[in-house]
Amino acid sequence: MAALLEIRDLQARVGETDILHGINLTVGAGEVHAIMGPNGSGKSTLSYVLAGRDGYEITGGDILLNGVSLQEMEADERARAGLFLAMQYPVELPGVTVMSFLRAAVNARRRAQGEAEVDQLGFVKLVRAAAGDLGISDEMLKRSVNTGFSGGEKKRFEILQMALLQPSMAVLDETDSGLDVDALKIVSDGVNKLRERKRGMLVITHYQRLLSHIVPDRVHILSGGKIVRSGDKELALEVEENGYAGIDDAA
Amino acid sequence: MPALMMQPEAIREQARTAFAEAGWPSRRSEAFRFTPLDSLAAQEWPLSTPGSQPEPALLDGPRLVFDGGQLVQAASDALPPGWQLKPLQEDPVGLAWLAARIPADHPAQLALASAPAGWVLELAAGASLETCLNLDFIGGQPDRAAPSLLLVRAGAGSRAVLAEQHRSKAGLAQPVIGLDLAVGACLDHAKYQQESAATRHLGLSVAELAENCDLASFVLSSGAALARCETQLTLGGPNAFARLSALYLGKGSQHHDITTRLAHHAPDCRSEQLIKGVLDDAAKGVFQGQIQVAQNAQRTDGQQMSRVLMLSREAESNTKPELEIFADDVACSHGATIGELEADQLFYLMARGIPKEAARSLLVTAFIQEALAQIRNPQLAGWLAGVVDSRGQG
Amino acid sequence: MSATVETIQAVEEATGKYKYGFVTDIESDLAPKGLNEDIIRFISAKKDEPDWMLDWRLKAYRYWLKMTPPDWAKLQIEPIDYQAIHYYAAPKQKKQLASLDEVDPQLLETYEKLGIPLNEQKMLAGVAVDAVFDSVSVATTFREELAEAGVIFCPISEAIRDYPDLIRKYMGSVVPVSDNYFAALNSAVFTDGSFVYIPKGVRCPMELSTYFRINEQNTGQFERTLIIAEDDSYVSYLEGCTAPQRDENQLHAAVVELVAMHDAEIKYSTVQNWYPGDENGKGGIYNFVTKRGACRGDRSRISWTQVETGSAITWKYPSCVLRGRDSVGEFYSVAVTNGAQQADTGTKMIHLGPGTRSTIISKGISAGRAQNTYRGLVEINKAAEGARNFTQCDSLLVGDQCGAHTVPYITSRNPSGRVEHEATTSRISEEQLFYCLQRGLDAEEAVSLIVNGFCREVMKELPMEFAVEAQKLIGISLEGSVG
Repeated sequence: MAALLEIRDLQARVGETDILHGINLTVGAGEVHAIMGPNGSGKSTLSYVLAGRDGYEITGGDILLNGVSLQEMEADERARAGLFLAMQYPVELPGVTVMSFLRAAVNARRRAQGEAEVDQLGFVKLVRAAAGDLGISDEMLKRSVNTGFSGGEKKRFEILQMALLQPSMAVLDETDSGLDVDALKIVSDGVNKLRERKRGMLVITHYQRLLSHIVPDRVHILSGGKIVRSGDKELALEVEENGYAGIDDAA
Repeated sequence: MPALMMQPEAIREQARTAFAEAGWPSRRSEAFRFTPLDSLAAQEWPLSTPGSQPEPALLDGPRLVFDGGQLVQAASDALPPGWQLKPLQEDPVGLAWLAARIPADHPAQLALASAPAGWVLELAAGASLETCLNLDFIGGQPDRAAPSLLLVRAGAGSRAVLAEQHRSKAGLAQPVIGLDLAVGACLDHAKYQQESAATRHLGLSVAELAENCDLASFVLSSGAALARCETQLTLGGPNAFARLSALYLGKGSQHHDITTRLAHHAPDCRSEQLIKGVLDDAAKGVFQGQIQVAQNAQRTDGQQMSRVLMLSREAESNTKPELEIFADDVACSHGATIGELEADQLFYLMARGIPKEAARSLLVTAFIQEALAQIRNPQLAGWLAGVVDSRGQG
Repeated sequence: MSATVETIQAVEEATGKYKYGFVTDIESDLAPKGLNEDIIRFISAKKDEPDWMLDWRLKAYRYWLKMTPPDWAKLQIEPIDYQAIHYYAAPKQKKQLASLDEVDPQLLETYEKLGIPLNEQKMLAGVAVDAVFDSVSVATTFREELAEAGVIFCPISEAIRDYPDLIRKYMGSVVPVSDNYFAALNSAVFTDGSFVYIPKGVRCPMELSTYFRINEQNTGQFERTLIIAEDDSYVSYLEGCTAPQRDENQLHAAVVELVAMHDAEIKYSTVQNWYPGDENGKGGIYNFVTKRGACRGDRSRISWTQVETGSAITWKYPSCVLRGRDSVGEFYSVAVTNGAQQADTGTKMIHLGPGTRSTIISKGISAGRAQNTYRGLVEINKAAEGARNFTQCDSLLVGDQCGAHTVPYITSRNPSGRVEHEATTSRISEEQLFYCLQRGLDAEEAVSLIVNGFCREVMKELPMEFAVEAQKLIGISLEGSVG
């Protein structure tokens, strides 16, 4: 199986603090990997480093997407290269309507791939259809991005974007945080629908609960900026039983 | 020559010249466009003569009595330990500090030039005093001036409570008060302006806060024919906090002016302002509130709200909330509302059997309460609540 | 060919031909520099004006001589030498280029970014227009349609000759000659401008645009515009254009007067992209404009909507005088300053009549080392029973070298009047930028999107035609401000 995402001995720091101390991980096309870890283990840092956020610096190692190093690429270049980060705390963009935002993002991707921009009417239909699957109303589509959205609405909107942008590698940063049981189901169904042979996913979560809905092929435990253990989906259940402390000791 | 380099007499002389040149500001002076003072030029303003009988104190706690603007030690109480008093004349640095902060064309130059003696009140570093120290301004005559200069220096880490009472009979009262807070000092301050009906009160307070300082100041302006309570405050060190609140109650043909200039010159400082006014009869109210954020004052949080309640057709309100922002990582906002009592609320009360006058009074009280609630020191809060209560509303 | 001026008497004696007592070569294209009564007579003669118009100009000039220019603390203005300006220049034929290849490529790039259609690009750049797109014939059809509706839309100089009664009745009634220094100057020396008259009950069938004024090919320095909307009428007027206005004329002192009668509505939109000067602000345009709308009729409405970028020094206060009962004044503005630009803009809403309402939404965006000031006045006067004002001024700072200032003046003389004013300051957060970048938008697209979102409330008041261009204009004017 071709390696879609390869994280090679990745070391990174935020400001003055070193957070990641050598991460090795390979996600093949069609695979879903889960990253679990206690608070402070570096989960969010990992997601921001992958996405190329300012202030997060790679101090060693590399990240390759489809064999191409991402290190020198800006956040938007990585996105157009096919990387998607569903954020834990999606920010508000007052006055920027959902439709205009989606159109801008989709067109940016299309231009990068040498395709023509979307036609207005067709796009609205496309968005409505995808939105319907995620229980996103027409009314919500008229609002400003994330402004006045509940936690669940924000997460569903992240997944809607993923559905429209069709990334080759999706990183989901604590997508389950702040969700109740129903919202969790809708979001998980949305994510599962996007699982396919050509796409890889990295699901970052603190709790096992999400992984009952989005069943991973591999589970990695992140602690102190390193992956201390890897296994299959049973590993997640083990964490639930024994907590992270149990895993650490065994590592 | 910068004031810091000059001798006291030279500073006074410079002030005399400055005032002679600028004169009383008219409408054309931007800072005084709503409160022109050129009518004061119609007469000379000789200094008040002392000798007035001190009235009973308004508030518990030691007090310093200023008669016609001049300190009367005989009538004043001994200062509690921690506080020290010395003449401004013997503190050229202090005088220079005050002088440097008064703009050349500001009428306070007259006070700086003519006040016979100034004073420095110093609070020792680390001193913590719960009881309020009162500054009681009385006396004066209707055709005379009562200027005073006072510099309050709060030592590092000190905590104190200070109250000003202005109930003189001077024709022109000009108290100039400096508040110099050293690192970590905390001051709760309240000023009650209830001068005589013939008084023009031109008060200027200049405050400077260093790192980690905390100042909560409240002004209640209810007396005088014309009152301008002006505060210039600089947040000069990081993590400082200032709360400036004011309540002005205008009746008859009074003119109340609350002017604040709050400058954020250091990062991570917070400021809050709530200014409320109630205008009845033919009173005129003015609020000018400028917030200035310097380029290095990142992560500033500056909030200002002004609300005016107009109770009569003849009243007039002028508001000018100003923002001057040079830093980008700031949260600054100001809001201003002007209006009258809500008809819906009045009706609701009356429909419950409350007579119209009582209903109005209740609503005005509620409006005023929000301002009084800003006073965090319980002694000061209790005092001013009592003052407002006894004035009665309607 | 420059003109020579001889003494009045000598000329009259010699020729007896010139009524106005001066001699210049009346065929000349350019009056000599400087301002005096002779120049004004020259202008009036050139425009073939009736005597009463010349008298009006002279009165204004004499008033101007007694006034002093205003002094605003926050603007750093080089003193203007009024005697060093040409007050009259014949409409210039733009230098005809053979094709777009001869046009400055940077200019073309801007046109592309603004999405201006090719033929319009040619027009703007002064390329000879081909038969496919004949601006004159388009404008002619336009005029025919208007004539059918009874709408008058013509250059002001034409109106002075053809509709003297209307001019005498309304000109100077909203902005009197004595109003301010630049209004007085303009009243003396104005040469171009629009006249619009909408008769009772007529809804003007199309948006009127300055683009379609025939024979007015340069943006006049001293434009005078008068729009009259009779009872129950409606007109939407567009001024300006998004293409960069490069102009040798440094000083623009225009006057715009709007009059709305009972139930009438005037919508005045401006999109302007002034040459801002070099990156040090040198060479930019001084834009001193007095714009005022008089809501004379009951239930009348006047809206000012503007998107302005790039002017080096702007001094504009479109205002509304709300006299008619229940009349409404609105002001929607986006002002973008970048580089070393300075802008001092705002509005005045004067409530005189009962039930009057005003809404002010001002969005200021500063970037680079620019300074952007909003200065507003809301005045509720004694008879303005139940008046209402709502003001929202928001400033967006891009980068930490610029400044945003808000200076509102609020006066109320009637307790039943209600004023609500709010001002906020913010910036584009790093989080917001990252969010957009992560979705594939590059930095400039991200800034444009976020800034347009910030301005949305104003943008949606613009007529469609302008809105799209205005959005692009905002994006372009912020280029280089982030990253």
